Amino acid sequence: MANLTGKQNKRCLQKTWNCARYRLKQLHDSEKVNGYLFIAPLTIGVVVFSILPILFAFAMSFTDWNSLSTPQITAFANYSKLLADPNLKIELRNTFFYALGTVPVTLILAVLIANALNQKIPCRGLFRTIYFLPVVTMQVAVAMVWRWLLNSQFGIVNQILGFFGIEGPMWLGDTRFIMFAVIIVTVWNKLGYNTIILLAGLQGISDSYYEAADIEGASSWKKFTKITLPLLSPSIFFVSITLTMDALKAFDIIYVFTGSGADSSSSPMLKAVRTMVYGIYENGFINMKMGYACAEAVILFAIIMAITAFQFYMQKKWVYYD
Amino acid sequence: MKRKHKIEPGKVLLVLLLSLGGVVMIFPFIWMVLTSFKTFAESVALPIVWFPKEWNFNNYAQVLEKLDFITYYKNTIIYTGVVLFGQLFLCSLAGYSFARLKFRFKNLIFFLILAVLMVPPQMTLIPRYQMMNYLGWVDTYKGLIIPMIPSAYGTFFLRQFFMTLPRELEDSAKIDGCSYFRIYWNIMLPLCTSALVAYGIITAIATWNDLLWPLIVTNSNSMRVLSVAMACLQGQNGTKYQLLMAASVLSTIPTLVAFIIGQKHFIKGIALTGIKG
Repeated sequence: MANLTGKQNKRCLQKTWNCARYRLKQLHDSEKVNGYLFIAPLTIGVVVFSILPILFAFAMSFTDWNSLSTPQITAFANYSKLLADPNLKIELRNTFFYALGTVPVTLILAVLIANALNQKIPCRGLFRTIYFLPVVTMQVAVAMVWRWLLNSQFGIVNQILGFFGIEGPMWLGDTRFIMFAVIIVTVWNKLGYNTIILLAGLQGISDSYYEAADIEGASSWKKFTKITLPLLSPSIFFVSITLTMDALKAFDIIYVFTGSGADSSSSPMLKAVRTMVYGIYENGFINMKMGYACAEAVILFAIIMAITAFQFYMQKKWVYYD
Repeated sequence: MKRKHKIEPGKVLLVLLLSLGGVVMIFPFIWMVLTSFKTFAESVALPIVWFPKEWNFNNYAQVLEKLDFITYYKNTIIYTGVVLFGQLFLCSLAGYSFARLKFRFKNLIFFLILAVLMVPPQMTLIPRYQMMNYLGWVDTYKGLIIPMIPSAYGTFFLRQFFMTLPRELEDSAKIDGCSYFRIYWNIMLPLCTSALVAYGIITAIATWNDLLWPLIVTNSNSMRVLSVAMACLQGQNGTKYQLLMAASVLSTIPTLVAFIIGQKHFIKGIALTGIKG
């Protein structure tokens, strides 16, 4: 640009500068650019700290990794062994039974209790705190207390059943009942947490809807089904998705109720409640077959993925977004 | 509204039912407190001994003597505090973007993040630890805190709440020439106060009680958090329930206080802005 005069040069620069500023302003206002910028820090974090480890575990599912020696590639050996493993069938059945037993009950109870705690009732703050206490209480204490409550001779549950003339079972010592005990304790444990989430969802519903309904003389039931449920549906959707995922990944409570890993894998009690994640834990951390455990985790992942995708597909039918 | 001062039979029934359920919910907590005052013999007696014969603080004194509670409180507060505010900011920013902004591959990226929740945590533990080892972050605050901040769960949670907010406010702000960050910060965040409070409470408590990650990534006593200290106490005194319960009470009190303060902030966010639905 040697043949340009100084004035021309300056004008050219000015133009470039304006152009750059205009582009920058465009970028600043662009929905797309902002969208990517806003999700960038979180997405990078999730990729580094969660997705990379997951990909590593996925790769290991094709090897004989035992976390000590160098893994050798065994292709699909883990998967074909798993499909023939009788424990997998038991674990699949138990996992689904547990999920079907816990998710709908927790969901319905949480919706009802959240609505009750959102009413103008005396001691509302106290009630909210009480219903949230299971979340705050240490898990050690929770497990201990429930072992006592469900004790076949002295436990309160059986004493109450006895009061009605029913002979209570040996909850934790009978293969037919231990799963029900696990389900009861899970519902109790998850209830407070999900109630709080739904309570926050209820807080987001504008009073003006209810005022309008009052003017038209709508009944409480009508208000609940026509206003509360549709407007709460995004929160209900969230709770049902996370409850399902957690149920399919159940481990802690089963671990505690079957003797914290002390029971041998052939124990009938363990057989009655062992879930897929229990199997993953046993294979990977007790039998040190990490590659095999990774393969089982991949299968579980595929199942949860399919169920979640289905729930997302179904949401169009019942979830209401503004 | 007219019947405000009359006793409604429906509400009486409701309170009765809630009280009945409340007894079931509060029971283990009461048990925990009662046991923390018992002697060892009383704590394991069958049939059950409900109340200790003598109320004394011996168990608490013993626990405080055995454990360096001040260090553990300090570490747990740092861990919980940084994770909490880091998550609230990152997850709400991303959640807003996923709920409201339009860009390519949005749903694909969102489902990818959601996929993280489908993997059992036991599976990613070892690779993640090896990563920390490689970075030299083992037994540091960095290693303890940073991997816990980008939360897929929190993003999903807050996205669902942003989805429910009315669009009108945003649209008028956009016409006024507000930047997207200003819309997020000045308009959307104040609107979902109750969601942020609820998420804050459950995250703070989950982080406070989190055992798995701190247990694995820290190993010196000066880096220890309360939950790990509790687990160690359990390992050393497996059956001394009265000591465990005293330590549990001590570590539960801060979360309980946080909840009682937090639940007062469940205020109607939207009703105050005066927008018609």
